[in-house]
Amino acid sequence: MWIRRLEVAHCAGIAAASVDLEPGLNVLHGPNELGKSTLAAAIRAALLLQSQSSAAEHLRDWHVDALPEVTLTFEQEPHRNWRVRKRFGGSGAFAYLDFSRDGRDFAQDSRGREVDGALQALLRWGIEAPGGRRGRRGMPSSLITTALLGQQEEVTAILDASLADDADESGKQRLTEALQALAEDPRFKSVLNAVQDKVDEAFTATGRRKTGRASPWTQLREDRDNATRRKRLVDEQLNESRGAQEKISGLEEELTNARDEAERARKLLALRRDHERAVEALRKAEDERARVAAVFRRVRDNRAAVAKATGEVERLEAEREKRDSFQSDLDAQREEAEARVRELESGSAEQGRRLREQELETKRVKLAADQDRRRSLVDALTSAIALHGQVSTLEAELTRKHKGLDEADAAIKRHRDELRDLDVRRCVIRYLAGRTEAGRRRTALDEAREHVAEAEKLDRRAGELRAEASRLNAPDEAEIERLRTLETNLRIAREKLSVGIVVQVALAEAHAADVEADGEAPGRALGAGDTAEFEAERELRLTIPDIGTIHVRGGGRALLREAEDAEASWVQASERTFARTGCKSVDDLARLRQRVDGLLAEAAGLETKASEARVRTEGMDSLERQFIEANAETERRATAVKALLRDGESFDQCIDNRKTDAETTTETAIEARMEQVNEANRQSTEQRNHWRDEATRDERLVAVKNAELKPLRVRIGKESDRADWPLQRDEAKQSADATAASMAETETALQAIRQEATDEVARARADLAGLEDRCTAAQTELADAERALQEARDRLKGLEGESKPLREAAENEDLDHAEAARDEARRTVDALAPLPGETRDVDTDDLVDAAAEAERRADTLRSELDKAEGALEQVGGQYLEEQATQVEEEVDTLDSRERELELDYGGWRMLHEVLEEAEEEETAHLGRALVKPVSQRMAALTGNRYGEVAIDAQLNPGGIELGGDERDFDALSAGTREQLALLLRLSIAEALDSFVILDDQLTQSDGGRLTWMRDLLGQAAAAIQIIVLTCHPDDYATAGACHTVDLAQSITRTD
Amino acid sequence: MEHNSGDGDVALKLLHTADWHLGRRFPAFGRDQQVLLTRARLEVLGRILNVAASRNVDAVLCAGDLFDQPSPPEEWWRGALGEFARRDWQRPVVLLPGNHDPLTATSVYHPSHPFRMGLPDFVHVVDRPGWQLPIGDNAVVFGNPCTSHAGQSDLAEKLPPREPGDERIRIGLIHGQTFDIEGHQTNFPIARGSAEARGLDYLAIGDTHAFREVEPEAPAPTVYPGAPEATNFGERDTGKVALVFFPLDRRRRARVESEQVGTWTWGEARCDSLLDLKALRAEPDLQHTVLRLTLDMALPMAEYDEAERILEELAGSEATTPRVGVLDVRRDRFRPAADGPVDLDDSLPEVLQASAERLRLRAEMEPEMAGRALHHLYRLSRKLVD
Repeated sequence: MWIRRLEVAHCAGIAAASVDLEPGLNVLHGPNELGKSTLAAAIRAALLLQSQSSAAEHLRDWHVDALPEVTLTFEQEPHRNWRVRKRFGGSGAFAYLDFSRDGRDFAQDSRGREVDGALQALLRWGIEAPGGRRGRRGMPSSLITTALLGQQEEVTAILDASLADDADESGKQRLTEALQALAEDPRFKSVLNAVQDKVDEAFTATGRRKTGRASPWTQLREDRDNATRRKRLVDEQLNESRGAQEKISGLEEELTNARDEAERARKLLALRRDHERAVEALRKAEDERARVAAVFRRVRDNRAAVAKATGEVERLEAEREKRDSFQSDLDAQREEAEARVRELESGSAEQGRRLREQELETKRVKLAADQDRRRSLVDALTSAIALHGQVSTLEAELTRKHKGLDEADAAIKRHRDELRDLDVRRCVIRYLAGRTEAGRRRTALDEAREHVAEAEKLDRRAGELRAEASRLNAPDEAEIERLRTLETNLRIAREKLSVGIVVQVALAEAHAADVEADGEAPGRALGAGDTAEFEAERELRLTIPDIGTIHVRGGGRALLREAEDAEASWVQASERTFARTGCKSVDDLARLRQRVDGLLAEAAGLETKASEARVRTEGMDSLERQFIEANAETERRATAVKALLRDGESFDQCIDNRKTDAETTTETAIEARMEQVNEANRQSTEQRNHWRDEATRDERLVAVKNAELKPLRVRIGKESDRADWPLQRDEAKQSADATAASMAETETALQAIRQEATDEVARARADLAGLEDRCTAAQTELADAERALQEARDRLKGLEGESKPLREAAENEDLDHAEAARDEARRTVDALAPLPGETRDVDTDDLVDAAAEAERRADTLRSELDKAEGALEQVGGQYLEEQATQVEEEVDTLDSRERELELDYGGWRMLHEVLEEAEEEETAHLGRALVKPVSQRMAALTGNRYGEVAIDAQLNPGGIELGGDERDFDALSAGTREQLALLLRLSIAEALDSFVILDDQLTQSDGGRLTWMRDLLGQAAAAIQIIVLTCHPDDYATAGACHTVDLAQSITRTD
Repeated sequence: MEHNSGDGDVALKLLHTADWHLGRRFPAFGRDQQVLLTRARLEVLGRILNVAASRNVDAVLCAGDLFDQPSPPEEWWRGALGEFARRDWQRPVVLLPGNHDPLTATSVYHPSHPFRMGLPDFVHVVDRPGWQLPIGDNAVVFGNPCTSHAGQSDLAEKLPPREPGDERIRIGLIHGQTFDIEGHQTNFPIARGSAEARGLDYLAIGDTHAFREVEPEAPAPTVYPGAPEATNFGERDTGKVALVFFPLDRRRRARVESEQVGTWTWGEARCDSLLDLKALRAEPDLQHTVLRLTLDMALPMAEYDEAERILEELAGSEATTPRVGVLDVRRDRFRPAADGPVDLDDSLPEVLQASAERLRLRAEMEPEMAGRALHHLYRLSRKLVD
């Protein structure tokens, strides 16, 4: 910041003054009382004082009736020129702030009270803006104003100043910024830059992780996302695999159990059958033994019976002999009695009576025999009728049972037909479902193949895009940013050269001349004596043939060098990039980069889609297998259908005929119906078996009854019709009754005849009768004896007749063998494992059913196990476990890398934070930044007499080191204090890159120090504007290049 | 096993290999290292075929898992094709699909795949159940391929038994797991005694990565040749192929020898101190070692920096050749001791010293991060001083 011009009117004795100043050292000199300090006060008033402030009273020129006016023009920084115009006083006061880029043409920026606010905002000197809280009266001051605008009478005021006294923080902030830059060690700066570069690699300005392709997180994140995606996929497959494995394990266990159960059931059934066979064998052996024993028993009985019968015959023969002898005796006695009766009854009546009696007796005997025969017939008929009734009943029952048997057979046939039909329907449904499934698998496989083709196509396209992006050779963002920075630097450097050039040329002779203003403009002729004026912003080249070239450039050597360096840097950096890319500007490069980024993003998008497409095809092997298996399954199901085709029915007909049925019903419904039909069939089979058993039993009973009926029919008469048997029985009963009646009559008649005998005759007859009775009785006894004998003989004969076949039968039998066989069978029974208690009462058929059910269960589980193993084959089993381990390891590794990266870049970020904190703390102590330059200059000034100056954080100097001790400034001489104050003010001005006004300073300095100080001012003026107000201009005559202003020529006094 | 039979008594010589795992990924390592390890699988294939040529074997049997997946990226199957194409052989090479590279519609073994179509005539693929290939007049190979990644069926059971009167040398070629490997899920199980049961003179199997003869006392050898290059840490007896010699005297058992073809060694190491690390650096011949190095130490800054430099030396950089072929450093428990001295040079700006002090204070709350930041500062400071 430097002051270009100061204009004053009506100020404290100055009627008008106009001073143009230059950058660097300006020495404004004039005699005492000319108004040098008034100029300094005018500058302070223009910059610090409100136009209506009463503190401007000291500017009032009491000699004129005009209000003091000050116009101050200053350049804040290149191309930022400000002009402050203020009139101080009452109602006539005004204030304007104007802005100009070129320092010539100003435009109003603000006016009135706004001017001071705007000024404090752009100066940032620690002065409170108008309307501030503190509301100080008088001339505002701060540490900076004290340093830059110090008054003549307050030469050492800076030694007592402190930032703490500033009304506003802006001064401290500006000093802090300036002194930080001053205090920054280049090595620290290089460290900080290096750390910043590392932080910028990974984080955005707001501290978030960078997401661009150059970001270290990006690739890692992409890798991790890909790995996580793969892991998720593999985990899903793994879960499926483990599920299948668990299912297999469960099914294997179930299958083992089921097989054990089936084996147990089979063994139990076999044991039961062994038991049954053994028990049956034992029963047969016992029956056989009993039969053989019965044969031998019958032989023994026969022998005993023969012996007994022989004894009986012998006894009866003896009895008959005795009876016969007794009969003979009785016959002899009866003959004697008859002879006597004949003697007594010699008449014919008696003979007639005897004859009748004899006839009656004969009749009675016949009737008795007849009655016995008829009663026997009645008994036979009664038994036959009863048996016949039973047979009829049984036959009727048998007929009913045969009918039931036929019905059960018919039902079974119906069930079997329906089951076959259901089986066909189920097979057709399965076949159609299999065909549909195969079609679906085919579609899925085709889709997977399309995904593969799509992925390849996407990859190719992504490759093309990447190749195209690579061909474009686009620079990265950093390079573009670097070029943009260089371009900006170049533009700024060039702009700095745009200071405005006006060249006036007056030639003695006319010449044609080439004029090039800022690289443009055609040539023109210059006439003799003409004064031509050429204007350019930064460069003007006037070429006059045969005379030479005038080349005028704005900005001074330093800015020219800066511009040339900037251009060289720009050309060096941009030339190769532009040649490589064919671009002509950074904007072109940015667009190219944008295009390449677009291509790469599109390629990445395509690759992601390809990856996704591949993910969708990762199960393609399974799909292929599923398709083949579905086809094979469909073939198997077709074979199953073909096996069930009816004669003459083709496979297609079968499918077509049942297609509608298959669409409207389900396999489950059919299987449910099959279960129903199977159940009905089972019931029908049970019913049939029941009827068959019943019929067999009844047939046996009919046979038994018929066998019993057979001898009765012989007695009744084989030709006799069964239907006549009741009538025949009734007739036989009636005949028997009639015979009985005849016998009663005959016996009555016989009794009557026998009553006709006389006493003697009666006695003789009684004797004879007695004898006859006895004889008859003896005859009867004899007859009985003979009959008994005959019977005994017959019985003996019968027994003897039986003896032979019995003996022959017994000769063919072996009781010992039968007993041994029975004992063996018993041992077999005993040797068999006992049947489990809970199954002893279970029917064998139930055991058969249980064994079959256990087998079916085992078969079902085997089938399910096959399916589960098939499923495991699809998902991968151990291969998948390996894949899972691999991808898990990949995720772990990427996690570890991410942690490492977080730690590494986190470390960089923490280091950056700490460096900034440390730097901030270090530079917050503003005094430290000034200690070094001030102390060094003080040491140089005093020949190292003084050491380090103590300046606190608020820039308040506290003392100076002298002889190892810190001394208060009061202990210094006035000259030394004055010099120290100037050094401090100069250092502050240098830090702020600002002008500094030295109003009659160094009045107490000796010649040596004054010379040193003058040289110092000359050196410092290379960087800042120094305005010296003095009445001793010669003191600064050797201070190097300086702009000297004789104020006597610039100031018009009112007095 | 007999070892006293010379080649003059040999009726047939075979080279038996398996488990190449071409195209296998090694995601736990860096990208360059992954490429190195994956390529090692292709390079060992060349060495296997060279051994077959130098030992003049009659046939080469490759018992499955030759590729790590059914459809590996093109560079791997094309690389394998290149190795075969370099040989103008008559001796048959038999490739068997394993559970990693099962015979499927999309696998490299499918007739429509460019790999299969590009195979020279002497390379045969076991591409169906019941596959067989006569080797001369007196020997025959029976093979059975895997057709899925997992299976419960015993592929050996499906090899045909020896017919009466068949006096040829019968060799079985299948992929699967014998029952006697503890802790392994049985996949394509191979029952004990399969070789004898099927009337085989040799059963060539693949799957396990270690060279191992199953049932050494059995009349006919059943052998896993193992992976010719290891695929993971903890695998033992890898890097070999099996050479099988069938004596002219048919009553004698086939002789099996292993031959080293692999060049990479996989190992793990642990360093608890800088001395351990220095000792590791001093070890020679680590160029073909895949080393998993676990670091467990907290070192003062200077030592930590030295340890980092040693690690850089071991792992190599763009400018230096790595000392270790493939290095995987587990550094979860490797950190600079943030509470120790940092030893910044006194000539450095005070603000850097102050920064170091601040980091030491922050280490109380965030030791790992602060330690890392201190190390960054230490390194940058060293550059300034140097």
